[in-house]
Amino acid sequence: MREALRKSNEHHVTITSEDYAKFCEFFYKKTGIVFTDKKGYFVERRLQERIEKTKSESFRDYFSLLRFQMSGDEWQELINNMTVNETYFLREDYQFDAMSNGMLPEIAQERPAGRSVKIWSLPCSTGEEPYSIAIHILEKWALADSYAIEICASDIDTRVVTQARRGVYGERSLQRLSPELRRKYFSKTGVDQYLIREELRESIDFSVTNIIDPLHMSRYRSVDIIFCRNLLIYFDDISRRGAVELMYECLSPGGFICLGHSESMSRISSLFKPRKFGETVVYQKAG
Amino acid sequence: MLVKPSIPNPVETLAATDFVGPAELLADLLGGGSTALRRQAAHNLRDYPECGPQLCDILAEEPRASVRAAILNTLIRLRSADVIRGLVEHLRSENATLRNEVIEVLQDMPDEAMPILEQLLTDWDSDVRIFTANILSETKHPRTPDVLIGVIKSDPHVNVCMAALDGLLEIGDESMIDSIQQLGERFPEAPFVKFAVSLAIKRLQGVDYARGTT
Repeated sequence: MREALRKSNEHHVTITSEDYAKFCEFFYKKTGIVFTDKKGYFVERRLQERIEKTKSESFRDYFSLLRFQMSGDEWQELINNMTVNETYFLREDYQFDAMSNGMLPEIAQERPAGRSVKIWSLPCSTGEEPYSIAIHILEKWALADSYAIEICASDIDTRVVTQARRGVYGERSLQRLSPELRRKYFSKTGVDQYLIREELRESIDFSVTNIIDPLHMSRYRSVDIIFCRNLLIYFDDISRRGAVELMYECLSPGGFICLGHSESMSRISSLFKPRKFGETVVYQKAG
Repeated sequence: MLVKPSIPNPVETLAATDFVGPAELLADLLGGGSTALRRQAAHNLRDYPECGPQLCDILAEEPRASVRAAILNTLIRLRSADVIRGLVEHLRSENATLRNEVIEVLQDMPDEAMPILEQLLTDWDSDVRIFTANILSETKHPRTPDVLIGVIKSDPHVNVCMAALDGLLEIGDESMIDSIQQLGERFPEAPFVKFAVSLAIKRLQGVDYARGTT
């Protein structure tokens, strides 16, 4: 249990346990994300920062701003501060192998050449995942030129979506890319700074999307493959179920969802059939 | 080849969406339209708590699993006493799939479900009491251990007690050993109870029952 009161220092306002609980409940209802006690320190520190930045005099003032501000700017800023965005190119790339060796060939079997194949990276964070998907398909799928490959990429955090559109990365993000791939898809623009090729930047649709918002999700239909990795672990059972339900609507019949390596669909929904491709299990909507 | 997709923004999507009230949504759900239309109607009913009981009834008639999943998801969002009462009625159904779906969602609303589940433990039908004990076994609620202990102390049906004991195996602790021991005494004519009780006690004492060591 959390302690009763979080005392303020000279710059901070007081956030009581009740305030904290109220805030977590509000955040959960809007995003599906559950803050565990383990995250208490992180959450509270970010919250204090936002209270200070907005010059709110009390938690109550700040909470009113969050709820009632017409523009929603502060709400978006808070989301940007609360979400985790650590990623890199070709992360968990065995699933990309499963895509190019298993899922895409199956899709191509049923679909005439020239038609589109839709892939969605959700959450896309700073863009490493959708760009990795694009690079992997161009490099590894022999039929890449026979189909119109449409890649969408979404995140709830506006800041990371902007970064993804810019396509500028440091060495840390590129650590798993071979020198050849770096040469082919990036140009070095500064010390520890690489810009991804314009053709890739221009061919991916980046957008801000809340996975538990039916209106946001209804914009995506007939998606063939969704990469939704390491997001649902931040949700409770109810939000997970809701998010998966909305993703189900977005998928084509026979479409696939790829979850993170520690995640499983079995406790969330029985509407998907587990499929094993190589060393990884993905989940398929009934055809 | 890579092609940039064209995705409408949320404002365009909202502008293109007609307002549909609860009566029309229920009609869509019942009208035999496409699966996608019925799922959409079920999703959209999440803003209408007054439709909870009707949704519970429709659940039993809906043949498609994906539509039932959408209905259940909406019912979890509505999570009122009326919804819980509507759902628990399906525990009497002969349809095992429906029963299992209901058992699963009731576990997702522990605070709202607990008072009604406690009432169900006095139901005349021992099958309903068994399902209720199964639900409680997976329900994250601080009262669950006490309620299950109450079952093994007083329920007259041995299978209901065994279902409760199963739950206690997962969530119980050493303080419950006396009550579990008494269960063995309540059904002396059933050797499997004696066996299960001894297994449960060893488990709660931290004994590895496969090896007989702690």
